[in-house]
Amino acid sequence: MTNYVLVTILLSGLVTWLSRVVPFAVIKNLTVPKWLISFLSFVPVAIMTAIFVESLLTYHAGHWPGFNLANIYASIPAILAGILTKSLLAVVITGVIAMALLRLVGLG
Amino acid sequence: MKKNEPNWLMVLRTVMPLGLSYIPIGLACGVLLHAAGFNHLLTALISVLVFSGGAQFLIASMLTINAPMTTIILMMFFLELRYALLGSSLSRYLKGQRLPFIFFFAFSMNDENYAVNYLKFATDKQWKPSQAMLVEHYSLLFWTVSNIVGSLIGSALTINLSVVDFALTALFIYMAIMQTKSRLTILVCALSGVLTIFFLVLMKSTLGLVVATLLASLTGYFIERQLIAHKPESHLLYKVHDPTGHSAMEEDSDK
Repeated sequence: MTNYVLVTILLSGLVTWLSRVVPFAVIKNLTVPKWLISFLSFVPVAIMTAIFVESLLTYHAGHWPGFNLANIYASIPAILAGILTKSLLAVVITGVIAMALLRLVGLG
Repeated sequence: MKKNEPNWLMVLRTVMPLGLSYIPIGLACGVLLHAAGFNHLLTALISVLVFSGGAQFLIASMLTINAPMTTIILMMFFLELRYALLGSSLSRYLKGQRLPFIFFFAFSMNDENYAVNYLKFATDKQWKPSQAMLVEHYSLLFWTVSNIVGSLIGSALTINLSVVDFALTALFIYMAIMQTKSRLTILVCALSGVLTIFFLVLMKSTLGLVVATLLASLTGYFIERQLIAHKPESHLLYKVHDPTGHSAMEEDSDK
C-alpha cells in the first residue's frame, strides 16, 4: 500500500512539475490561445464538484450506486456556510458538526 | 520600506501573509492525509512535490476510494494544466534566466506564490527573479512544516473515519464555492455533478470522473464563447454576488 502511494505521489509530482515548467521552457514565446484559457478556467471547479458528487454516492458490488443520504444532508449546511462566509474553517466545522448531529439522531 | 533591511527579511515580510494563511489549511491537510493512510514521510514528500492543497486533497480522496493510479494521474494532469497559464504570464519576467533556474523555479511555483510574485513583478521594478524564488521557498517551507505538524497531530488523535471522510467532502465544497465566479460556473458545477453520476454508473469506474469534468468544462467553454459572441448582455455572465464583499482573487492579489 505504501509503495503504491509512493509511486502515485512521485508520478503526481512529475505531472505537476511538467505542467509548471512547460510554459517556461517550451512555449515561452507563444501566447496561450484564448480558447484554452477559457476551457481551463472551468476545469478546476468541474473537478471539485465531480469529487464532491462522487462522495455523495455509495457503491455495492453488482448494484447501481445509491446515495449516501447522511453526506447529502450534512452537505446542505456546509454549502450554505461556504456561500455565506467563504471560510474554509466555517465550512469544515459546520459540515462535521452536522454529520455528528446526524449520527446522534441515527441518520448517519 | 526600511532602507537597510536585509534581503531575506524584506522578502519574508512580503510572503508573511501568504505563509500565515497556509498554516490552518496545511495543518488540516496533514491531519487528513494521515487519516487517509499517509505516514509522516509521505506527507512531507507530497507537500514538497505537489505543493497544492487542492491537488493533495484530490490525491488523498482518490486513494481512499481506491481509484486506479492512471485515473489519479489523469485527474492531476487536468487539474494542474492551469499552471500552464500562470507560467506563461510570468515567463516574460524571467527572460534571460538560465534553464536550471527556470526548472527549479517552476518546481515550487503554485497558485498563491504566483499571485504574490506576479503582483511584485508588475508593480515593483526592483523585484528580481532570485527574490521571486525566495518567495517560493518561504511559502514551500510554511506549507511543508504545517503539513508535517498536521500529520503529527493526526497521529496523536484518534479520528472517527466517517468524520474525516466528511471533512474531505466539506473541503471540496469549499474549493468549488471559492471558484464560483460567474453564474455560468454554477451551471458548469451542476452539469459536472449530473455527468459525474451518469458516467460513474455508465463506465463503472472512476474514469467517469475524468470524462464528466472534461465534458462539463467543454460545455462551459462553448456556452461562454456563444454568449460573448451573440449575447454579451446575458445574465449567465454576471458575477456571483458575494455576501462577504470580497472575492478569493482579491484576497490573493492584495498581498
